[in-house]
Amino acid sequence: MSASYTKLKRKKAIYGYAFIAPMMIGFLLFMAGPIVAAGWYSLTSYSLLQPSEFVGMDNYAEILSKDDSFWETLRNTLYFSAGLIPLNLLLALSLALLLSSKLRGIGLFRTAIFTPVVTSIIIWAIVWKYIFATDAGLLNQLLHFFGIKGPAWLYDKDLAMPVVIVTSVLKKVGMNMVIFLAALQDVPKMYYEAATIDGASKWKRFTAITLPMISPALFLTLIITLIGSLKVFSQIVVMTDGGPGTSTSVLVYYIYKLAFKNYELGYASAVAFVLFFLVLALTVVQWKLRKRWVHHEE
Amino acid sequence: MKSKTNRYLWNGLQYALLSIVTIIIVMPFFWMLTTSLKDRNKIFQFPPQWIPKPFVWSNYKEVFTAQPDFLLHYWNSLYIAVLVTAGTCIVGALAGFAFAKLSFPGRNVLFLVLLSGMMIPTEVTIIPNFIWFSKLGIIDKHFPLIIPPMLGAGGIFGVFLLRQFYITIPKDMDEAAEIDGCGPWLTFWKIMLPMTTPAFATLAIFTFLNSWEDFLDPLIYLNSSKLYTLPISLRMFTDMAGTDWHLLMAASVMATLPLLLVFFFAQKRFVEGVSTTGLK
Amino acid sequence: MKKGLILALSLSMTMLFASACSSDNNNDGNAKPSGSASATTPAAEKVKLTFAIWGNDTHKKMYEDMIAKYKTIKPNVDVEVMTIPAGEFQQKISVMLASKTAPDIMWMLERAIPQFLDNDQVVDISSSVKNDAEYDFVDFIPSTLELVTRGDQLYGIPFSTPPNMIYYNKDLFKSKGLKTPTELYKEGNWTYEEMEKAAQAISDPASGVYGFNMILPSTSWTGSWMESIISLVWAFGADYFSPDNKKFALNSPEGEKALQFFSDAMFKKQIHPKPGDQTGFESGKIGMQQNLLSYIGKAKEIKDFEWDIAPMPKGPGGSQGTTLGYAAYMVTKDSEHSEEAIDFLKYLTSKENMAITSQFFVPGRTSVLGSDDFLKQGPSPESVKMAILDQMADARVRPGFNNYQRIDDKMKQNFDSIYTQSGTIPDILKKMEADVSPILIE
Repeated sequence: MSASYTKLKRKKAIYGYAFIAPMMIGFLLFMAGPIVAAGWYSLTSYSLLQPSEFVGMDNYAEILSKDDSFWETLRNTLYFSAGLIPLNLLLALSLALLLSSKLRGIGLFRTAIFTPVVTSIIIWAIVWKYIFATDAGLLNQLLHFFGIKGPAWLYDKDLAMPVVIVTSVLKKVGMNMVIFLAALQDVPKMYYEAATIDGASKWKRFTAITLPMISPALFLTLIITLIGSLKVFSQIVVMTDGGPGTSTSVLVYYIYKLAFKNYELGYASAVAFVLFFLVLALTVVQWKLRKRWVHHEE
Repeated sequence: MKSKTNRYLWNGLQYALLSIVTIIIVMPFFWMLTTSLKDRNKIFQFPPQWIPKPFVWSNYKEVFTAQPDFLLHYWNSLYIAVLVTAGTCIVGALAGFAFAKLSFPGRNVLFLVLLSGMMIPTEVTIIPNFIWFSKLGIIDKHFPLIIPPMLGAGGIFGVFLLRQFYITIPKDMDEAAEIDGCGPWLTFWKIMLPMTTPAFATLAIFTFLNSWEDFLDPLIYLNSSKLYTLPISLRMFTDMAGTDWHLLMAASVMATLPLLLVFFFAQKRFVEGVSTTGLK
Repeated sequence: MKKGLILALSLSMTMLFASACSSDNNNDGNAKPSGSASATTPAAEKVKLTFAIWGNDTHKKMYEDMIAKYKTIKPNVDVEVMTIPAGEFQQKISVMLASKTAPDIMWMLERAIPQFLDNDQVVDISSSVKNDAEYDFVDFIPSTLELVTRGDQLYGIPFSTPPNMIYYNKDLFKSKGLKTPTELYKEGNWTYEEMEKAAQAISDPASGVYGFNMILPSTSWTGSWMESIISLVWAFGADYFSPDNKKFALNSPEGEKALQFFSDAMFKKQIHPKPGDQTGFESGKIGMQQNLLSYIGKAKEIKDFEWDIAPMPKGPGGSQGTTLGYAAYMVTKDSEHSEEAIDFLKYLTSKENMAITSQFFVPGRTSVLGSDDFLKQGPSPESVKMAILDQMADARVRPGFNNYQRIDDKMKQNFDSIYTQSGTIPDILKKMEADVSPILIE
């Protein structure tokens, strides 16, 4: 019995390795390799145009001690994420709740809200840049119609980032909404019926039934949105170029600028690795928390 | 009586809220549409012209004369996105199933290693990749736009999503299959895979759109204009003299409208499909 | 379901391998020499050159026509034109250089030239061009060659050297009974003061009409403002940096005056569009727009109003501060066929071909500049002569450095403070100096 059991186990293990093989090989070739290379660059002063020069931990030392831009960039990135995630998820959930009732024309509404998801982010950002333009922008013209003088949305150090956040939320909210819609439809109606019979209020039904039942979806969208928010890039390039000043300079933008514009690939790689370790830490934390928060998993 | 009016009021309020949010979200696309039909000199008028006067339909034709290869770029983007999506789904399903249902030594560690790969921005891995791809002679081809994304960050996301999905399939299912004499492969092929449609739907959307919108990879890996994809094509409407907004918008509408139509017709099935994505 | 899946799988796998392994372009390196390569020149090796530009398909077509003609002279040389998006040209070229896959010959912008020269990435072509009598090297205006010359060595030939100028809306001027910039220039009275006066008469912020716009559409508000404002700065007698490029020089009374003028125009006097405004000259709402010859194609499509071109106005510093835009052809060091590439470069910059490119680019050749064909490029030969030819001699090339991007960055960040009105000009200048000086002396 135990012999065939181990045999079965081994068979399973072999299949396991076989199934993950394509992914792991690909990972080795296309991710691990370049990551190691980038790690090597981070220890040099490689500039694309010149052969590299080994500098050891100098880049890292400079990032952690002398580089104000890095810390500001980190702050901006966290600010962006902290603004985007709750806004996006709340809006997506609210929209999903509204759109899960059987109103007429729901398909149109859903498609309309999904429009930004299929639009190129660059085009999306271009249009919103025009909407938020000072004076001649669509928003300020609308406000002007009501007699209000709109501020210089993208040319105000305090307003630029919120504007980018709102733009980004509106772009992605459709996708999360769809995921929530699906999750909501999956909640067995009988739970609600039973709760109503028991006299539970709408709010109670929401917090005691809906939320726990869709918690896997919440978890999924949280991770997707979080990772996406840490990698925000295109809309920054199009709308603000990291400005005004450095108020919207975020990490990936900073890395891109260092690597591709300032020709400081070595330094850029070091910044990327600092980002990597930070996110890794975040992931591990989330992983552990997941076991406690999410319903319905092994 | 009271509850009926309440219901009407409530419905009305819902419609109103929805409409406001929807208008805000859809307005940019509407602006894209109208701008694509405007006279080139009247685009940033003050006050803005909401309905084009006159309707310049020729803008759409002009896109093809300004960029004779536009249709080719469109096709390139399309077939690349389809391949990447198909590949990611398959590789992701295999690996996701393995990480979820099969046990083998080092399983969790390997998974975490994969996950960490999602954290490195492409901007940093693209140059080393480019350098060794060019040594192998596979730049200026579509290969770097198809295989690496499939097995790189996009693929990892697929593994993550699908593992998530398979984990929520009750253990009884695979135990039943085992009792019936199915080895891991048959379990996967005959039992798990057919159930995966919902998860595939979600993954497909993400992967397709990612590939469709990708700008950096085609920019770096491709040299011949015949191989370019849509994002590069759109970028070419901006040159040293500024941007041809009317053409850019017309091209963008052409790039976006089909996807929108697909979503509209599929959304009913899709929403029902995405449910039970173990996101349950 | 199962059969469908298998079919889909195998189909996608096949497509995958087919696409991955196919190369529907013939760009896999240069062909090996073969004995029967060409019937006319049996000994010549078949050579393939890549030529990278940031232009659009119209430019590409123009070059391809030239290449077709070149094939009749040099049948063994094939040239492929590579178009790279203008905004990412620099980045792409650098990546290609790093992996030794760079094109043989390429366009290069003045900003990047010092960096590429310093890093020894381009070929010295002086011997080939200077000793060729038919090429007529002396035909080139000397100032246009400064940037690509280091001592005795010449590293490229400029193909586009446009002086910046003012496009103005004749109708707006006429409607207010104002003298046009052209008329004022002829009187010797075309100054920033006059420009400001005219702008104030023309401006009507309530309806989005602005007197003048200094921001170049090509760089716009988020790109490098340094390029847009440099003429203004020079005209006021100031400069960004010292002549040796080692010190920050804008923090001077003249510099302050220049920036104050610009800031006031936007916020106090409202005669200049506010930051982020995309109103273009073609909308008819801008009285005067700074721009280069490259805009003339678009300008010619304007049907709603009459326009003309004029030189830059003179500033309190006594000069017009006209800049000379700059782009050159260069041959990369790593090219395997530098000889053929240099020959092709000479062909592109011959009198005949520069006359052809002059429909888009201001040529550096005196003979072509003065030609009838070139004078016809603008609204009238007279205005082309006044706004372009006459300005070439005094125009200065915009500065370029090894560290350009980092300096540009810091200056832009501080300059944004002008846009956000978060400080007085003197304070902003002080901060700019503090930020930029360390980079300059690196």
